[in-house]
Amino acid sequence: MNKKTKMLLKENNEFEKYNLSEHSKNVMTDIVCYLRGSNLSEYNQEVVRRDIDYMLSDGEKRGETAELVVGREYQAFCDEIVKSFPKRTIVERIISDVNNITSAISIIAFIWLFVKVTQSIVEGTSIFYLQITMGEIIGNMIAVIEAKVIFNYITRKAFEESKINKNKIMYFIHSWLKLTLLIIIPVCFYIFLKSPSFPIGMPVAVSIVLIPLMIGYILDKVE
Amino acid sequence: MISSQMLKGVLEGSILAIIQQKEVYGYEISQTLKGYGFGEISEGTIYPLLLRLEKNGCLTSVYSESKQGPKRKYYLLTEKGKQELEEFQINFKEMVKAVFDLLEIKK
Repeated sequence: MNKKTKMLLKENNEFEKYNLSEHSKNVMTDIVCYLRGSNLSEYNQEVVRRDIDYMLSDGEKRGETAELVVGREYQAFCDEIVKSFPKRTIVERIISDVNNITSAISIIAFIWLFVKVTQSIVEGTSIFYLQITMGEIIGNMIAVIEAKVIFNYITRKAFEESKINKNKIMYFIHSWLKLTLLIIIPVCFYIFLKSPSFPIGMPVAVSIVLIPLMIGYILDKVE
Repeated sequence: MISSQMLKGVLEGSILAIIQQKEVYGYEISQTLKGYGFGEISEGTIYPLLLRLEKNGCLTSVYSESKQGPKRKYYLLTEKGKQELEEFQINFKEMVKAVFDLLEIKK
């Protein structure tokens, strides 16, 4: 995320915190969640968010709810907004997707490195040479794919999920079961596929974290 | 009351016509439209159209402080917007005339 977008995001967070009612905040959470999964660039998402924030706040001053200000069909409202922007080119979409994937890789690689270093310290082995197993490689790749799948699922179902108020306990259990299942898959690879394993030096391990981070940083500038 | 189908087609041109008169913000546009008999049109209906017109270069916008509270986004017509409005007026008058003539013949 570039500096301009970060600043606007911070402004919007602050604005929502102090100027919107709880109901409008909930509506905005769904709207923002849905827009995150749309084709809009991160900057345009924040520009739209600011406009809707102002609209809702102004509406509240007149005693109007979010439903009255933007209409009851939030998803249709968001779809119309997305349609009103010019479609992103293939290059722009590739840059955005690669940026998201590199972010996920660097986070997962960082967790992996942290676990490995901690493990080495506990076991009293050298932290400068780490063993990476085939299970860890496959498990981490699955985790990256899962992160993308979960992100797409949550953003696409943003408005549906908020409507499930009938049985909150069942919904909670259902969500946790799905999440647990998704976590179990890469963990199984970690546990059961210990060989073959390869020794890698600390500089290589750190590079696995830093290179995607640097690519993401460069792509942020390009975006 | 104008039906929603017809309304959709003329809303964009009408918004340009309102903005031509003065700098306005979303809610003001919906109230002006209501005053002219367009019925209840929420800002949620107008906002995507304003965005589209802005992206097409027909409008520009500025955020200005309001007495009531948060800033408001005010819209202004550009040269391209003025041309679009002129085209809309010509086309709409032609269409109205054609429909009117047709209805007269049917009588």
